[in-house]
Amino acid sequence: MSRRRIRNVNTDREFDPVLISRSVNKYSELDDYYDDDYDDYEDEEEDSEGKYVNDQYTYNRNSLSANYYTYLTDSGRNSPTPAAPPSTSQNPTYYPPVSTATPTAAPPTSVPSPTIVRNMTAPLLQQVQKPPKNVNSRPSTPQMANNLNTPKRVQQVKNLQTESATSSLSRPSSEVDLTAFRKNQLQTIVKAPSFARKTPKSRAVDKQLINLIVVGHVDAGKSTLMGHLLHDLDVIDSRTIDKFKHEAARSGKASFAYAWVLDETEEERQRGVTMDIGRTSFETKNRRIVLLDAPGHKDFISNMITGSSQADAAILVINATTGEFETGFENGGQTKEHALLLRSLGVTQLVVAVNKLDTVDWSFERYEEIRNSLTVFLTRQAGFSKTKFVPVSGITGENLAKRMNLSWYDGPCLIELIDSFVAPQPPSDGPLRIGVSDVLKVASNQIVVSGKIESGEVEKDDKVYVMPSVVSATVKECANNDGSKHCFAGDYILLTLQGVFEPDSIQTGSVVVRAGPDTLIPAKKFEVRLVVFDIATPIIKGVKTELYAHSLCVPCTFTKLIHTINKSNGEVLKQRPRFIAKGTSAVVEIETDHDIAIEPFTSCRALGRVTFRSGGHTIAAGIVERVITPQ
Amino acid sequence: MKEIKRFIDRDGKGYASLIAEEPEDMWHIYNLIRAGDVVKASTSRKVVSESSSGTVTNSRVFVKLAVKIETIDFDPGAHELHLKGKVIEENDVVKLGSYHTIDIEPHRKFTMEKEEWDSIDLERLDLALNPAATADVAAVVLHEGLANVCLITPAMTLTRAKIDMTIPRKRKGFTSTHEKGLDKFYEAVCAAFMRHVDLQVVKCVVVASRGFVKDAFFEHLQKYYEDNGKKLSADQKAKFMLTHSSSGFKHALKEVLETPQVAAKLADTKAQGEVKALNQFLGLMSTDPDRAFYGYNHVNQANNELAIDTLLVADSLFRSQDINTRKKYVKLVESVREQNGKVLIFSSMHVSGEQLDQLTGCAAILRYPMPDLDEVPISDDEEQ
Repeated sequence: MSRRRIRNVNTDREFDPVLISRSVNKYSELDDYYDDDYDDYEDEEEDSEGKYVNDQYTYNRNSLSANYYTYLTDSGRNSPTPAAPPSTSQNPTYYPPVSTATPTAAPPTSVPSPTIVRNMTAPLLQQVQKPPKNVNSRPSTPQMANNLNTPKRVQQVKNLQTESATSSLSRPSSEVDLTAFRKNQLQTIVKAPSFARKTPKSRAVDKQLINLIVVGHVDAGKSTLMGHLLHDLDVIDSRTIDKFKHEAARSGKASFAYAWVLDETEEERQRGVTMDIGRTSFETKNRRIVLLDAPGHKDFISNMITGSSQADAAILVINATTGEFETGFENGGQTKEHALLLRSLGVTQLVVAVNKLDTVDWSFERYEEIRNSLTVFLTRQAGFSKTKFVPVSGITGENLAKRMNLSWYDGPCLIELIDSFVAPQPPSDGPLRIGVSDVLKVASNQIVVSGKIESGEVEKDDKVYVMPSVVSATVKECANNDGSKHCFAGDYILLTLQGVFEPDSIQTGSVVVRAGPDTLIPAKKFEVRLVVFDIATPIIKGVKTELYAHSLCVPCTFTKLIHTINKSNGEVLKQRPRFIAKGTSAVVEIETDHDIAIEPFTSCRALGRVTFRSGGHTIAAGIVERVITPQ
Repeated sequence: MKEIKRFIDRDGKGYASLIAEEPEDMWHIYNLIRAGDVVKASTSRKVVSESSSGTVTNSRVFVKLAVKIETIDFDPGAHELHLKGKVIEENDVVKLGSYHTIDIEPHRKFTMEKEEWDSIDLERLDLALNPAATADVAAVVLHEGLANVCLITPAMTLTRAKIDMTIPRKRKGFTSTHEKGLDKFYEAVCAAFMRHVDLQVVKCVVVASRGFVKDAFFEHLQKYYEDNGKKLSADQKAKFMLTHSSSGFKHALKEVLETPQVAAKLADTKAQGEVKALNQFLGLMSTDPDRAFYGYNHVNQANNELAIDTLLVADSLFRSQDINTRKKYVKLVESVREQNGKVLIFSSMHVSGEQLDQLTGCAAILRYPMPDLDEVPISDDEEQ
């Protein structure tokens, strides 16, 4: 058993900055390593590695005990005054609402260890009775009130001990409703003070980071285009490409060789279709790019949404072949749906790559025809401004990394346009929010996830919570793909969490947060302002759809149609409409089966954007206006 | 269900002696019984007796009891119906007025007595007695990481197993975790399928997913059966039907039931008819909203103007413990029938019924447009 844990903890090694250099290949080595570790998980002994394991052993024991030490001292200090951390009870007036420096020498472990949770919940019982609206209010008032009634509190502690005993017996599993235990736990998290950060909240940046997504209709050549571009940039060496070409030719799909750079699963290669987001990174002259290659097939739009929710900019790939542009653009094609989705997911920078122009002899007329019809759609309907167009060919590689000689085009090539994207300013001093987009490795005491930091920053040894299952954990390691160990908003990171995890308590769509007044409270009812897309049947009460938000996808029901609004000026048109027809704007109430981690758009943009799909079509997109907390 | 005897007065008062035979019958009984009814059935009861010397003996005896029902508890998964109430007929071992819970058991006679059997009750009783072979259909809807294994019977859709797993995504340079995760997922779904679906009994099996998941699953399933020494015969394979659905959530079943090839096979099941009617309603909502209304107020008003062509009602409304609510809707149904309108009573255990339930449980397709109705507030019980 102990051996197993030690093997587990080995993951330290992966975050060694030496290992993680800026090249993609190295990054993938890291992945290899994860997997190896996973494979020989149950292996009893490997002699060849014996010495090496020993090294790890000593190293890890230290780090482990250090961890336990903080746990112990923490609970030891807290137990005599179970109410709140000592700093506040001694000095009730001093309670910083935001995370500024606290005078006491408290360790940056704002989150109590599991043992304290029970104690901590005790005095807060009176809070629990109140509607959780208070949760969002300024933290100072309830806390102070608490500190004033110390005698009362003692009494309540007694009451609560019995209660907590029962609630600890029925420990909630991952998806239980707001039981008393959970409520208490959430209250505790909200009440926990924020502490000063050890390290500064910014990073010296030499190059701006851009999360770039490539979208377009199926078979527009997205993967091939990007594969070729990566090859031109020497991210993928010629040997690999030659290997792909050889293998692809052997299976009769010679034209798919470049796509294989990003389509890596056997199924994708076999079928010649991208099915899930392909992810890689490269650098241009002035930018660092995290490239997300989205699937174009309409069955995999859910994956495309997950990718787009992490993107800052997009390339829309158009197939210029005769007839193909039309099928992709007309009804039923994904070009329009992708563009609308991008816009509703907050991506504003768009480059249109008119691909496969080699099949129409680089015809200027064709290029202009596509450009004109797209411009109308993109500006009028989708609301993109300043969209740039570039003629390219993914298979022959023209105009990708180098400008080409074309009589009618002398503008920038694709890579120059990518270089001109502007990085958004993500709020790295905001509350921590990491949207988990993938759970890579699960053990009972350690879990490896990947996701994008939507706001805030995170580093090793931080105490965090995972919503909506309210699991506490310690950040064992974190790294973005540059190997930097202190990660900021905008980074796409790998995160190793240590704690006690029930199976499936952490899933795609979970959100990692810190304790404190600005934490995220999971809920199941929301008020959403939405725009209805071009749909066949109108939205009525009781319609079941799939709700997409950041990496999350859950079923939800429209429980109430509150009112329709005038799109241009926001006026309320009709209270309690019977239905919401296509093209209209409305405010509705939705309910999910279980608690989920999303929050109002005003608190966090990335977690406040929602998209509704039903029957394989996107029916509406909108923003969360308000979280409706249960009474 | 079998009927032994039925004695119902002209004014609706009377009793019926029945024998439940299939799990589905429990659902019908659940829809028939309301608080206040009297149920007579043989049941077991623990009896404590004290002898003259003071020794206490516990024994379990079978007695026939008449109980006036107070609470009804239905477990759709296990097909169990528990009826709790006060004993109203004196008995050798049980005191009058003491509480007892009767479990309705299959293949055992029981008698149900009501103060009033209304038209909906009688209709339900006849439906339950109809021996038409139940067309059991198994359905598996899935997407990567989520699968629902369901059984569709005429009156119910039962989720037999829900498999929810996180599958690691594909990642640069390494894809085997993703593939391994998928294999594990298929394995779990196959195991659940084998446990819950009896291929001898079901008429057909619908496998629905987006993309290629259904094909991959079917391949895995064949292999799984073979590995367990139960190779699928050609007959059994012919029962499978692979079709498209946009996701693996349960509500995707609605889409599945709509697809023409499935519809052809399931033509007679109640679920199918319900989906069709609801779709017609929703279609009208977009093309001619003045002919599609929902909510009791609107529907009732339309009824007063003799405008209703088809009435859709959820059966949950008739299970209402509030007698007046029930009466209200019974009256509505009867009045629509009088006008030669069509009435469809949706089972709330189907996906379409669930949706109608959300839509106040009551909707109508009108013969002619009534634009004025839009002005009347919908006014539901839960509004404001």
